[in-house]
Amino acid sequence: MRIAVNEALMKLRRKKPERTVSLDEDIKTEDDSLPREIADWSPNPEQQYNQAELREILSKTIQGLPPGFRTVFVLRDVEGLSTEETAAALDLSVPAVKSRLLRARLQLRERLGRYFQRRGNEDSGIVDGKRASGDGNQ
Amino acid sequence: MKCSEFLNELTNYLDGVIDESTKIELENHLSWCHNCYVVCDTTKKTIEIYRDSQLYELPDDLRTRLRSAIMKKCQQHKKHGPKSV
Repeated sequence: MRIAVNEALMKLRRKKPERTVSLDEDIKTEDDSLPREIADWSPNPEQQYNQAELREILSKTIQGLPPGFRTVFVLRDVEGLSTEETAAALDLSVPAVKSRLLRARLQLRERLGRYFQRRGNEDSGIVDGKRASGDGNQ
Repeated sequence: MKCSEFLNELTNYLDGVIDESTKIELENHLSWCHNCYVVCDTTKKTIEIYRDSQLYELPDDLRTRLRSAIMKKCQQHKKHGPKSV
């Protein structure tokens, strides 16, 4: 009996650390786990690229999503349909639309982060390894 | 509120369909959890960038027809519910 109690207590103790969220681990949501990339973006990430480059990045990124997520994202966030309308259009339940939308948004965010991440030297006035002094003495 | 709970509410929060008490809890969490703040902010930017991108430009006529087809389906959906979940 004592062994069983000890065993149970050990299990509970072992469980405790799960209450804190590690940045290196996936976050569990209702039906899946999502990887997590936390780095912040530059203030106006889309302005780092010209129009054609930006379209290429956005197109490539969204093509990488599973089609079921992509369709929900486009109908809800690009076309502006409501959750109910999207559910009807795709023959899905409202909770299924919400779940897919969350995962689509988070996956796109993470993929775009590769292009839009704030660079380490961005705030220090150093551009391409040189100090952007702006003086005309050269 | 834990980070995982915050993530589950993120879509409702960004869409503005969240009850007042959950919203207060969520904003309280955002005020001290920098990681969740960054996730929330960059997710918002992701949506805005795609919305402004005109990546899926449709002719007005096609968009109107698509919309009315969806509305029609919406009526049926309300009556019978989704075919599959």
